[in-house]
Amino acid sequence: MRLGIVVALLASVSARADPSAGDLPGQIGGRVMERGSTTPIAGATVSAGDFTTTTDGSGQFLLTLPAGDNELHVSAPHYQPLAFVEKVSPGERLEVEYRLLTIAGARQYRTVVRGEARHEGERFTLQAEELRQLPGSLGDPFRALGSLPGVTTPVPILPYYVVRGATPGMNGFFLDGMRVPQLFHALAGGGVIHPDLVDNINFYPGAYDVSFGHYAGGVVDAQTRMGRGDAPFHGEIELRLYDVSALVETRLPGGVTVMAGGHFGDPSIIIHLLQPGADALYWDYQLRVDWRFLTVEAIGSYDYLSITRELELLPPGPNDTYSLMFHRVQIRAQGRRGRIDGEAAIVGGYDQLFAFGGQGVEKLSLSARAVGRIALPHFRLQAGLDGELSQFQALNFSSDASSAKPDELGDLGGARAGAEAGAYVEGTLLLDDFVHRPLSLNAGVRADVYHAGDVTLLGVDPRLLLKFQPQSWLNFNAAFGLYQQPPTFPLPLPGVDTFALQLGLQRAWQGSVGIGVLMPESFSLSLTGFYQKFFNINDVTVDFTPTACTSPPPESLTGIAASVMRQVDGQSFGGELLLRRSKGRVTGWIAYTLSRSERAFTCGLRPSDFDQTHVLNLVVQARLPWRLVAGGRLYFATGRPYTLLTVTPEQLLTGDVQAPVRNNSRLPDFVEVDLRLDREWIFSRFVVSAFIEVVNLTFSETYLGVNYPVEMRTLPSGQTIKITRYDEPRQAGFPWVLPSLGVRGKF
Amino acid sequence: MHVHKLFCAVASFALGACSYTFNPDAPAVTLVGDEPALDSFPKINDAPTHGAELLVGTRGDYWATFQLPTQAWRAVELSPPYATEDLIADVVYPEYKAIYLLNAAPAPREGTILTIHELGSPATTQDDTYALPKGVPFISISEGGGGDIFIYWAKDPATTQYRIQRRRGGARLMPLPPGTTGTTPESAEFLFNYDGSRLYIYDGTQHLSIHSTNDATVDDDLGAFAPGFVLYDSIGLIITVDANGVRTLDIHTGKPVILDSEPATPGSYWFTSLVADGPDNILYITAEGLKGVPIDGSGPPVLVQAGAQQFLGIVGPANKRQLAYSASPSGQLENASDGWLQATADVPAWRFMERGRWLTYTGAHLGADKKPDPKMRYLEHSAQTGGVGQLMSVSLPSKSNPTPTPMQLAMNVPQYTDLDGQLGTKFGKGRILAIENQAFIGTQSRLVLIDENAATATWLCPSVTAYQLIPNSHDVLVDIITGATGYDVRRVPIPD
Repeated sequence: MRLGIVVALLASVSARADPSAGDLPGQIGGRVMERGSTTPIAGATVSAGDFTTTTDGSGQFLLTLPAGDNELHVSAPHYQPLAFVEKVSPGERLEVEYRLLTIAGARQYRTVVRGEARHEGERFTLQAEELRQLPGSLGDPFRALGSLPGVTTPVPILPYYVVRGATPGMNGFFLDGMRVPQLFHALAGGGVIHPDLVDNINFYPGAYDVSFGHYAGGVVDAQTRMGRGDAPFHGEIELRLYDVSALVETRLPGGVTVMAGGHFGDPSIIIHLLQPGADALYWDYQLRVDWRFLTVEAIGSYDYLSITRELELLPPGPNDTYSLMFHRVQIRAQGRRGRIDGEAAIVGGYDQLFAFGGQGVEKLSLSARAVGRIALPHFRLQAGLDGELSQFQALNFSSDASSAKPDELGDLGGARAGAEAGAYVEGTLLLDDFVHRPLSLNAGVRADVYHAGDVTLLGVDPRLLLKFQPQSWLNFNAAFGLYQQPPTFPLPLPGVDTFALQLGLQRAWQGSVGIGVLMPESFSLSLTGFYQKFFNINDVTVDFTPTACTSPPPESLTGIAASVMRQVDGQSFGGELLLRRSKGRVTGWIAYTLSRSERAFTCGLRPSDFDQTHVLNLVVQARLPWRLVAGGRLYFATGRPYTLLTVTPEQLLTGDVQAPVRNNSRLPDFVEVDLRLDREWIFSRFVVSAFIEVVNLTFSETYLGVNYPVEMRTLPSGQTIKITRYDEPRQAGFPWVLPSLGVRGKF
Repeated sequence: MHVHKLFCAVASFALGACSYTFNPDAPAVTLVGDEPALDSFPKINDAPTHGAELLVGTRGDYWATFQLPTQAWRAVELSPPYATEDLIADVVYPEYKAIYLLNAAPAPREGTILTIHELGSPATTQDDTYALPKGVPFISISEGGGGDIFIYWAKDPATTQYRIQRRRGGARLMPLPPGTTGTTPESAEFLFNYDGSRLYIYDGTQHLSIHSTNDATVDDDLGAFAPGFVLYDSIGLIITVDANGVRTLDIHTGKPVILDSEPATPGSYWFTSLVADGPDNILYITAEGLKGVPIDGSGPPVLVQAGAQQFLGIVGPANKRQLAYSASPSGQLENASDGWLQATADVPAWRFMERGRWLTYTGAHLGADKKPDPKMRYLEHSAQTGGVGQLMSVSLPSKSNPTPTPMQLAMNVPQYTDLDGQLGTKFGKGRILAIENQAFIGTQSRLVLIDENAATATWLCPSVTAYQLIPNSHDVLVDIITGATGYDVRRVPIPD
């Protein structure tokens, strides 16, 4: 049965009559292409009996065969092979085009990797294509982070993640080596990078090597892919209920490839169904140009949110508006010579944050980095430098000067010039020959300097990583090190960094031990234990119960920064389990995290506001007949802690009130079920797919905290008074469901 | 042994870690002393409360009054014999020398019973009690008359009159002012003069009238005035500052005077004497800047400072008075503004404040030339909700130092007091009472006593959100936030 389409475009390019033609061989030539696209398949094997050839870079082949019927076989990695009979006429050339169908689940594009992996440490690598259909991700590969071990989502629906008990602001986002302030649009906007542009995502929950700096929490390191030069054009467009995205790729003369993509979303219509009074808008764009060793990239993102003051329970007035925006342009060069390879890049950036009653900040930055590697038989050496110069300025976006409150931003808004620089060196000792098993020891140290205003910070971070593979199916890893970061706002926001350096560096000693097991049927299991000791980290108060054993704000801060930020010590520890099946018709994983995150509050060491003891993710994807892919996700998380005030009205009236310890109770557990169904129709030169997805099908409630009812009470004296019932707390939350329906076409 | 070596190796490796902070801008003022225990300060209240008001009792001593979680109020005497009184009423108005208690008249009567109680009055003394007509009570009590005169208006459609009542005298029944109805007394403004002998009414038709509170000898319409006029009762003038310039009207003679015909910014006026022992001037904003003219018309208007948009104060010794002003208009930046010192023959104009408020001058109460190195103090960077800012102190510029460097005394300050000005230099010793570390209302804020010369801040009391000096003492009454559920009021001594 032919699974491909054989197109006999024409016969007889040499149709001259020849009396001895019956003894002559014939030729069959043409191209091997991918079905559903304009991608030629290079390296495909075309054979007929003893006659074999392979396609060139543009998918072209030419095979000389005996005249008559020939059974041809066409095959290529990741594609379903073809077999059929072609009739070759003597002395003639048959021109054909074969289209191979990709194997379900196989990568549909190449990953361009230059050199060795640049970062060491326990990591979870996710491939973009499988993640586009991950239930609960809204088609966004980055959202898969919320389903990985070590990650909790304090406020389900919002893409803010807590990694191993650290503050969200301690997580770092890298895209093609450049730091970006956010990977996600606010609310349900998805990632700021077109999914098809993402080649892979590496998630390092902790204890990584010194090549990552400036962060004391987890790191997400995403790579985009190079544009395909195999066809004049590739393109994709996706329409969803409230979002449109597009991506085009082309090649230019001289081996230049160009890729451009972007999103535009206006979810206001959907939001209004659930919550009138709020409007949202977002967009992003990406451009990548590759030529030989040079890559030029430009990315940008914008989010806008407008909320009526009535919705915020504030007196009437103009809507409160918020916006986040950033732009980056990077020029990157990579090269290899013998055992040495390296990369250098320069990045220009513009960030803008607009919030807090018309106030905002903007940041202009120029950064550069360089890394070099030498690979010797038993030793690898890597060293790198990075630095950034930045200029911050407060902005008044309000058209009403009388309402401007520039000092509301406090330390976030002060005009300042910032500079930071880092350098690292690490060596990896390969001891395979000594123990006859793969064994490596990585030791490194990095130094970072930060300067703004008159304050300078210096941090030196040593880190040590060990990997051992006693059996082909078994490996161990252990890591330990110091991770330091300048003061940060607890949530990653554009334009908000290199501020309040007087607070000193945030510090985390991180250690982890892990074991990995490869099992039959493409299953793998990993178990990891971790411990992190935090010093001087910039936390945020999530539990808004006022003044009950809170940590005091840093005394040197002012405005919003002082209201929101807390400078605390703490620790987190726990275990992570990941059972994963990455190949086959049914794939997915079970990720379970048992952990404890604590902070040293004024009343002692208590659970952090982010602490969630149990977090379970069960993700299943099944490839069904008719090119259907069905997926489901079950998410369970223990409720976050909050401080319950157990004060009776009688105690309130007499003043006999004892302050409770912090986080003495928990919000309800959260259970979320997500379902997704994808269907793909493959045509000759293009593919159309449709999907339907429902996130939080169970309409579970996201809890933000508790509030206390106020009631009128009549006293024995006959007086009626208003009294707050602290003894009758009510959980404040909202149920939600996020449906998504879309269609995608690509060629 | 190998384990030991491995441990040593790892330990040596870890010891390589370090973290340094180089900060030459660390606070110049050091917090000294331990955090005092709250229980060491007498608590005035039993149940949670805040916002105590100071009243004078019959013995001339001071009482703290505050509302309990119920509608009741409590008054606590702040000097021996430290008596306590509970006051229960539907509505309570604490006034300076008396408390007004409003209760619905017991059935079957209708109307309102007003009881005026003086704190500390002997049990044998009968409170003044008035039976007032039915209707929602509207009461306006004279401050100038020591709380002894008030108007009472029963908000009711049937109301056609209201009452001017003197506690120790008669009452006048007055017709409703024009532009009001029986239910809308708020459409008019009622202002008593300094001794309560006169009542000014700015009615709903924008007419100003004057009335005797004793009898019908004075009931005069002073004419129509746009909002924003100034009633300068002590010198008997009505002053208008608006697009028609600056004008006065003698209340008693009705004589109008045009002080300056140049249009002025409505409502922008300040009163001060520009030179020592000089006449009172009214300062106002025009298109040219800050102008001034003697209120009595004894001189022509002069441009005091070109480009100025606000008057902030007068600083400097008597023979070298300097004008502090703002170049930005009022009503912006949460009422914070820039601050400039006027140029003198010795020093050029100098911007000492970027976005601040609450400028004080330590020499103001002394005759500045008698105080060595007088300071300007202000809350810098306070353009935010609540007006909290950094308490700064700076010397006046001089020829040798035309731009002195301000010293930051405290951060996130909502309130401060120059003790010299309040309690005299013998006790004050140049010290400043301030609440600091109050970026938001929370237990982290504290009351401190700052000694600028010693560069120290002595911790007086934790968790203080507001304070007021108790007259005739060296103590302060402080509101203390106790947690999620309430406030306490405590009495804190200021150390000598």
